[in-house]
Amino acid sequence: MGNQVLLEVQGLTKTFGSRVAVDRLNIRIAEGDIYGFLGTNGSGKTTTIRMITGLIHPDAGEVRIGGFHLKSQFKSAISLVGAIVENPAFYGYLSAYDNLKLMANLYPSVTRKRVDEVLEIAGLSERAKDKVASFSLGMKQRLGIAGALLNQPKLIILDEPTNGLDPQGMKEIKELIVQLAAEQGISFLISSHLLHDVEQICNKAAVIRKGKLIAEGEVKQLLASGKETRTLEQFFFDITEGDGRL
Amino acid sequence: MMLRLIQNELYKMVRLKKLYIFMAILAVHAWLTAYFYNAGGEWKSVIVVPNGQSLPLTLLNSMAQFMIVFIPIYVADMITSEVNSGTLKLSLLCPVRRIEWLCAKIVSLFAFLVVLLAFSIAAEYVIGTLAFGWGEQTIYADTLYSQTEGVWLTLRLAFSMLLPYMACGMIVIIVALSATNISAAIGLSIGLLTAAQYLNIVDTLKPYSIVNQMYFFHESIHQANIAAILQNVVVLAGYLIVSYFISAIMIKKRDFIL
Repeated sequence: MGNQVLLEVQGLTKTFGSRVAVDRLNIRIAEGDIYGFLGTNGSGKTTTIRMITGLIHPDAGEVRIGGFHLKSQFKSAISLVGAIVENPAFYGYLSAYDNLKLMANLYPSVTRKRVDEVLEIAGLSERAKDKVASFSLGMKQRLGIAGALLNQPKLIILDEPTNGLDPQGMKEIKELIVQLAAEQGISFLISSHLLHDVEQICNKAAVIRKGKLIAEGEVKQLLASGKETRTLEQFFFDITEGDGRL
Repeated sequence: MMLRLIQNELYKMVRLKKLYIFMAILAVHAWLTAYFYNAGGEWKSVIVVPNGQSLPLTLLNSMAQFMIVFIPIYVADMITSEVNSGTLKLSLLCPVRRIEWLCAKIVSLFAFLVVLLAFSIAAEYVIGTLAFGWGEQTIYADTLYSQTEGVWLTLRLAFSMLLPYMACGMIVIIVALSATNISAAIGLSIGLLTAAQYLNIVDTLKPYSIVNQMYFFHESIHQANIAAILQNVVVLAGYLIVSYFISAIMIKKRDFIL
């Protein structure tokens, strides 16, 4: 994978009332990395992703994307990102094509042809003219991925990207992620509960617990760090001290 | 980027069924007014002298009672619904500043009001003419105007109402940004505007009541009383500016947990 750091998160902290949701988090993602972001429910994964995408304001710390400071150079930084945060949401009264057209309109360099391309990649070309209100969760997830690809980003952030997808859809998405990382050098930050999937496709992973990063590194190294080679699932349960509810 | 955001907002507006439902309600109201006059005479209607060219001015006051409902519904759909459903992310995950998003919404509200006003004038001219004929002169506030003067007066007074309607919309935007769901946003806004009507009871407070302005702002324009116009414009500009700054601070500081 490349050496150039694409996403750099330093000392990221967020509290809600007296609860510390994210506590001095540091993350570095290099070009071409597929970075698995693991943690139990409520561990702070989505809050971290929301801060990285500027949806919520951190109490402390900073985020740099492609060298651009998210707070002071928001437009330059976010232009490098495609993201699905939590559930993909679209205007139900518009078609899949119209929804993407609205998004594309916010990127001067994205053409109508690109909209067709991403619909093709997401396997939605045949349903492009259908209203999103008629879509299943899996189809909305695919449309979300199409939207995340629209601006040909350098970093794609996917929060539970295989939610609602059928086994074939999950397989296709995993293959697509690996292909985009290999062929186009796109980096991925993937939050997932599916440890087996993360083990299969990610070269790096981090585990967050109660807002704190408790493990980070190359997946192979993490799995080999014990007395014997473990699966990611075994590793995860070991380091979360049996609190590894997924 | 602002222009592109505005394009998106206008596209969503014309694709929204609500706009056409509101237009239908305004047209049905005009038709019912004409129908009841024809059926029962002026005691059943606000029409004093029936003719097509006077109908839009006759119904201008009653437009406010619809706007008190339409504006909260449209703004809640445009803002609270986007925040709650998460479609806000479609814009905010793009290179769009929050303040640009807010400004595009304000332009969308303005366009919505222009479309409704233009439609209501056109529909009332058509319905009035079909019901009573076009007529010889425009009659408004016991004064007669030639046809050309009447049309100009109608357009001038009707579109002057954009100012109080926008001020109302800006207040509703604050409510919509604070509300946790679309029903709360609509309910709170309509409740607030209904309560604001009670300011009309105290004469000294009347000019500062947004609801009073929504009903009667055009009358000060018609009377061409410069002092009254100036006072009303300053009050409405105050509402607009203060509401804009409050909304801007709210949108800038808010954490979007979508």
